Amino acid sequence: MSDHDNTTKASDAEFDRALSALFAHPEDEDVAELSRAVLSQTVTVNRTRHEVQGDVLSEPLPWALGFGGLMAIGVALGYVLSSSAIGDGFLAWFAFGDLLSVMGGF
Amino acid sequence: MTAHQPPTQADAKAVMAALARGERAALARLIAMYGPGIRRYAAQSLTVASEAEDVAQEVFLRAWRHAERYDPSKGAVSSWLYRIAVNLCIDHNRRGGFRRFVGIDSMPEPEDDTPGAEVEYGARQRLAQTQAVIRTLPTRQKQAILLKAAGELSGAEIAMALGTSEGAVEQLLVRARATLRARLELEE
Repeated sequence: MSDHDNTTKASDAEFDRALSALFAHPEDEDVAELSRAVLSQTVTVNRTRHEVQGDVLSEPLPWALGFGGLMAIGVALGYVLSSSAIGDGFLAWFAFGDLLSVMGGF
Repeated sequence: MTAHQPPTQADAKAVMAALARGERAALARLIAMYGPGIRRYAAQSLTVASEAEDVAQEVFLRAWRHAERYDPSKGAVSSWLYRIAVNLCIDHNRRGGFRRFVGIDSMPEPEDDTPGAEVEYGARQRLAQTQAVIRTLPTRQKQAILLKAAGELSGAEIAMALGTSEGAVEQLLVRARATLRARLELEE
């Protein structure tokens, strides 16, 4: 390798070091905040089945209400659709209306 | 130059193996190893420097989710992580450009204000001038010089991160340095 090549390499290395120093700030080395933010997100990403079951057991009422509501909607829709299929649509819609009024609808 | 020592390949690969096994402590270790450099790279590469923390978080979350995809035989851990960072910065800048175009976001900061008040005015001015010149470089030259200066990667690591050859990276760096030298000397 020639002297010129060596000088160029040294000069490039010096230039890169100066550029690195320009971009470097002491606060960059503190990764506590970054670490905390990332690790907290990995907790929510990797929730196990037992942890989700734990939520249901610790907060049973909202989950039960949500489940009950979905069941009621499913029953109503099933009734309407099956009644419509045998040509009894008029009465079925009345029944559906009654059901919704019981649930606070209409 | 920064005071820290770059992590060894053996250490980094051991951490990746632990990460693939789902060890969260390994993730903290990986962040300690590469967090500062990735955040620095993102701050210089993004149009809006304040988004660097979000990008750095996303890099490590992706590393956590896809650790098993890392193949030690295909390159260094640093290259794998910085490749994610490079792609995320491109996506962020593209989306940010559209958001600014339609007026959802304000204009990008004219200069990086991360040095803080304690840094003297001259250094801030030099940093702002350098950043302004780097912004004018072609994309590949900009990525290469930032991976070198902000990420402190070797030529081989940059080549892996950018998906190109070491010779091509050397050419990109030579051109980037020449432009920076010429433009910065002109401004001084």
